[in-house]
Amino acid sequence: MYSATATPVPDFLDLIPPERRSDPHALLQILIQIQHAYHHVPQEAAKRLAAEMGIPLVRVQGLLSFYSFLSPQPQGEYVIHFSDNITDQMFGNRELVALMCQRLDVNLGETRKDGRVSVHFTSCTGMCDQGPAALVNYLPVTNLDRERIERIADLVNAQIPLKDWPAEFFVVKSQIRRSDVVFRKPIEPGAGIRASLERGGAFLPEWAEDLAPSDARRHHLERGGAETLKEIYHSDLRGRGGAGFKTGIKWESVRDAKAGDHYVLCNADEGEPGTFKDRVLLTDYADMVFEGMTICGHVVGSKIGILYLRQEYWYMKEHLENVLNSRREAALLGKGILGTDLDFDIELQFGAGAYICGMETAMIKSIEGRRGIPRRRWPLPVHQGYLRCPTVVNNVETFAAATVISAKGGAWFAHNGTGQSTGTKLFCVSGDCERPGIYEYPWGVSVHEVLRDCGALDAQGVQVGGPSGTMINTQEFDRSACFEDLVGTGTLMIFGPQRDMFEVVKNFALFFQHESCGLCTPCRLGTTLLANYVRKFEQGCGSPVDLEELRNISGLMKTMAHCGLGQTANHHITESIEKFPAIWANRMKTTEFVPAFDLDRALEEARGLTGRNDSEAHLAPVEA
Amino acid sequence: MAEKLKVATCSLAGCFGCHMSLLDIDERLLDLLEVVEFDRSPINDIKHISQPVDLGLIEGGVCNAENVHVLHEFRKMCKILVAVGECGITGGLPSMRNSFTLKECLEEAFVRGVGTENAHIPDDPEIPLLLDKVRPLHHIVKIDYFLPGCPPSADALWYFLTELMAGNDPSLPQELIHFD
Ligand SMILES: Cc1cc2nc3c(=O)[nH]c(=O)nc-3n(C[C@H](O)[C@H](O)[C@H](O)COP(=O)(O)O)c2cc1C
Ligand code: SF4
Ligand code: SF4
Repeated sequence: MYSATATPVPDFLDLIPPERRSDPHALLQILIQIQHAYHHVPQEAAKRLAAEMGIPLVRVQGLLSFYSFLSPQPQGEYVIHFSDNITDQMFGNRELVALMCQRLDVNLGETRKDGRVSVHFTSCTGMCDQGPAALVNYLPVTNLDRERIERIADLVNAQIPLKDWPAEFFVVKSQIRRSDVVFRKPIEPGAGIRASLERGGAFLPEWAEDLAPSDARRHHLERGGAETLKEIYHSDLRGRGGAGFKTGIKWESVRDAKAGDHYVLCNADEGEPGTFKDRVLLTDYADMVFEGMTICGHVVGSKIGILYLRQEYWYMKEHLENVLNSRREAALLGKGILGTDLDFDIELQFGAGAYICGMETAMIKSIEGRRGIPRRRWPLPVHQGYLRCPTVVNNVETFAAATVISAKGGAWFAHNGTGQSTGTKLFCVSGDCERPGIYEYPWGVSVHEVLRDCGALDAQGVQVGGPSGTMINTQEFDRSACFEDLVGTGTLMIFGPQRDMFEVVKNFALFFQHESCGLCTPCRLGTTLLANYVRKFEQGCGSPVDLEELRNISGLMKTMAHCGLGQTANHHITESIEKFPAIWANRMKTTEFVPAFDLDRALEEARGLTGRNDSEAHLAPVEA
Repeated sequence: MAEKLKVATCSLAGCFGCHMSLLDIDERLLDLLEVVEFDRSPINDIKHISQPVDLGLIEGGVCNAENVHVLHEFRKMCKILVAVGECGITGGLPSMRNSFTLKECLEEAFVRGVGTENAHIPDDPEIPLLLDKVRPLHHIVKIDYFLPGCPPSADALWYFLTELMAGNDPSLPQELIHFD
């Protein structure tokens, strides 16, 4: 299918059914399809799409420049994206990338002259417990080591089709190391939605079915939704996507909203580096997630759910479609669910590489086929969300919990956890430990307990909740993971005594610089300034003056940035200054300000052009 | 009478527009001269700062070796150093050359330019060598305050100076930094 020649590929829109070609909301999904087929989006394709959709070409180009997995320039027949989370880096991804480039005779970020292969970095791919990882033609390859890299390079050089590569390369393990009350005995498919319908008395004896007047049936349905909402309230469930908003309040707002159709969106963007619980849930418990969405549909009166899956999880597409189909066959999805009047169906949509698309309003824009740029906070998505209609956005894990609550009751659920944080939580453990993977604990578990269970008692620091979360040192290991203390997505990246925490800081700073959407100045410039200052310290040019500047910029971002990304993109800076002061102090060679660049070298080019070498043609460093 | 505040000013890679704006405070200049005394400044054509001063105002970014020397002199001699105007704060208009190499710029001006005679890149030791990139002031020395605007308005300069002299926080109010 792929053509390595630079001439426009004919008929590239043939992939797309004609009715979709004219729908601008489908733009992103279509571009992803073209990207997968041709490993870039040719200019011709962009032009034709713009024409068929009746939108300006810049809108198509805007998407190509925004989403990192879309590219206007041809990429290799084999496109390799190395995951660049700090955990990948700790386990040697830099050396592996260098080896790969050398074996393939290609420069990082470029396409080889024969069009065969290109090698890139990308943000965390969610394989942190089995890294270093990469994506080859958008499919994950895990547990990379020198041997695997050499074999991959040979396969590429020999032009072996991906389907003939060893299957073990593509194995993604779930690695659930500890289950608690929820996942020890997962809910059977259908039990949650059945309970929700039963609460309203939706199931009549068979003989009564045909007799019941349709408004009575509707009444039963209605009452079931109301009762299930009460259970969600009783459970005190809070969103698992990071912010911890009460799910009951969110669902009720949409249920009560009068205007337009209602929508249920499941946020499977999972972009926070170090986080991979949604991947495991969708792999092993997809039914529970889809069922939670269906229950939500029942409660809020929605007929359409959309699962927004990050591009890195493209490999799950077939699996998820199979689960959806078997649910349709079992009357758990589609028209007339379990014989009642409840209609609800779910479609999949994909992201294309943008961390910000996990932020709910950005995600909504992305699903609408636009650049994923957060909009202003009001009106809230519960009032005007997807297509300006009332919309629930919840995390994958939140929907799974809703299924449990519907099946077992809110009180049962609330029995576990702490006062403010009910239920159990999946924790993603990676980094320097003996047993990385997924751990289910009741909320409130201490960091120390997790470290003990995963075999990491010698840790010097832990990043809780991903780069936007909290960086803690050994003195804080008795803190507990719950909304009262260390909130976040349940992510623990562990750093052993041998690690340089400065490398962690640098990785995070570059991550945020790359992922800032650029809408607002405090974040667009702030993330770049932070990264520049970090580089300045790395070069040994840092001083207390720069440290103060880092604090100032961080404070400004915290208070002035438009969305959560910019507001939290400075945590790793301020916290590392406070908790790991030595990594900064060690890199300060002066107490006075010095430039981040060599002044004399800045004259080198002019010396070359003029042939001068007199004393005025040099700049000595000033004595402090 | 209290001792006068000693002030030095200079223009590096700037257009003198910021200095013009300072003169634009009009008759308030007379009030200003009651309380400040100018050391090195294009206003009085003194070439070097003669003694440590309280306040240094610099317009323009840093484009050549001489700019670097002057900037170092100011940092050494001024208790408080202020970047005045867009060029000092970001490099401003002159930094538009940063997207080209120095070679491209100089060849465009002195070799390929329309009507150039004796085409060659000037190499006289009297002429300060250009840096590869135009830099904002704070890339080279510590700057204490930044006065935004191109140029900062006379009112902004007046406000800044009077508040500073009164010992207050000289942060500009919204209306003085609101440009649209
Ligand atoms: C920069 C940023 C990234 C986010 N990424 C995710 C994500 O990947 N997955 C997610 O569920 N929520 C993410 N969120 C939170 C969502 O905006 C939203 O709060 C969440 O999906 C709501 O679901 P919940 O109430 O079930 O947690 C992100 C927020 C921000 C500010
Ligand atoms: S804070 Fe960053 S990510 Fe959020 S809107 Fe501003 S620029 Fe975009
Ligand atoms: S900031 Fe504006 S007025 Fe001041 S020197 Fe630069 S160009 Fe001239």
